[in-house]
Amino acid sequence: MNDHKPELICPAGGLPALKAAVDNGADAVYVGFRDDTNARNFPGLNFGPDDTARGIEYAHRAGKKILLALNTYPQVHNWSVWTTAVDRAVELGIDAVIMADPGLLRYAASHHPGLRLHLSVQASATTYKALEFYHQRFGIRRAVLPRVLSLQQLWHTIANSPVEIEVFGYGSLCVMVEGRCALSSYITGRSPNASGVCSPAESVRWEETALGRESRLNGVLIDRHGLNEAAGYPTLCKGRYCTGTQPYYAVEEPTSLNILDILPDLFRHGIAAVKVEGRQRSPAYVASVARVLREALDTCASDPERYLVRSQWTAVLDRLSEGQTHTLGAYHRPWH
Amino acid sequence: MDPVATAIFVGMANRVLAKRQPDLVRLEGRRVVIEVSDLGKSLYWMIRRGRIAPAPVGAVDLRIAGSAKDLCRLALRLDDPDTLFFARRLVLEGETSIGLHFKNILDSVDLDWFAPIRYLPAPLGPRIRQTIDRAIRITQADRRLHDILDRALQP
Repeated sequence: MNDHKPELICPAGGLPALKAAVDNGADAVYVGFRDDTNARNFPGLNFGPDDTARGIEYAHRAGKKILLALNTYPQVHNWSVWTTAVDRAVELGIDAVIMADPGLLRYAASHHPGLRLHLSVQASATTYKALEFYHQRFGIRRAVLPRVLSLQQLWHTIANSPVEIEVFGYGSLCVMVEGRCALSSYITGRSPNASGVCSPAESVRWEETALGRESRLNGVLIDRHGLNEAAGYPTLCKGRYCTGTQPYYAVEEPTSLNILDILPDLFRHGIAAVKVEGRQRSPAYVASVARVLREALDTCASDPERYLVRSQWTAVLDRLSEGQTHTLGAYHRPWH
Repeated sequence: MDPVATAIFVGMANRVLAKRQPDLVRLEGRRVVIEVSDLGKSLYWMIRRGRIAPAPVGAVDLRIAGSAKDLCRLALRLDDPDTLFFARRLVLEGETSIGLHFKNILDSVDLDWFAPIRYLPAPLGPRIRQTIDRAIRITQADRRLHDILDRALQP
């Protein structure tokens, strides 16, 4: 039994979202620089130098932390962009960096031994043995686990892990090979690990037709939504395909993860932090999600035995969700 | 849409986006139409020299459509565009990247209602600002205003 209350980690793609996260109960906010050093490399999104400094000041004044995602994989020709980003993070006073690339982890550990390192979900470390490796080699202090483990596997990993464990608590789901997905390269020539984006906006086209909304990725039809059918993001993995007679979600459904139902279990097993997905979302999303999860975490902390998910929490979160519905994802799988 | 409404939109947009000219320059020359579907009105605008300018009716690079209420909710940051898009209440056709880029520019604008106070002589300015900040925190006026607007604009 562990009575420690998990930290609430919220996303921010800009200064207003960062402020919304801090004001609505986040313990830490994760951000990215405005380039391809992070897995949300979208036009106009993320933090320039001024905004980063102001954001850190705002969070620190409120006693909250700022984490920086440097979670893409540098290539030989652009290696210095990533190392410069690590150096800047230290200069700015970032509380921890979230990284995946072993080379970059080694750079950070040897050049900035005081810098707190978190292992990104993009590293796709799913066993405690993998975590031991990153801990021994680079001194990581925390790992964000990919959303691929069943609860039994999660408990086993936490029990044997040498580092703190952070799990996703709410937000859009990635296809089940997080950090190893190159599916989008097939159709857009880009992948999350190398380019920080899987469906680059210039490859996305929506068209309202008599049959419904058609989503195309690089000209390829990946889905068609009927008049009032809830939609999701235009990623290849969330398209509908014909493998038989009827098109269906053959790879992944457009839905959002929501762990409110299993919060007391996460407390009991000593999870260090609960993370919210969505640096690409607007301040309104960040504010609403942070408010609900803050309330849920506080309610659970005060009396885990009598904790019940309130229907208005679920209503608020479902409304914001991809496909307007939620799931426990891999957590409810029966495999061990 | 009539010239007065367009002028008001253009004026307000440029005021809000005043500091974002370097970002807007990257969308130079792009044409957008915002259709208020339930009112049957269309607002044509473009980016010219890093500012929003009225555009003639005609071909556009991006079409955004939604109800008056939903577009107001977006403008007031009561909803995020992705939420409305998933719920099929927002239409985006044409060059998606323009829409995404513009959304991200808008989201990065840190609206500072206290800017005029800064021009007051020191130490008056910071002290007034601190007092207002504290009053807002204690009364939760910002959250209340948000909730009032949210209720008034329920879909």
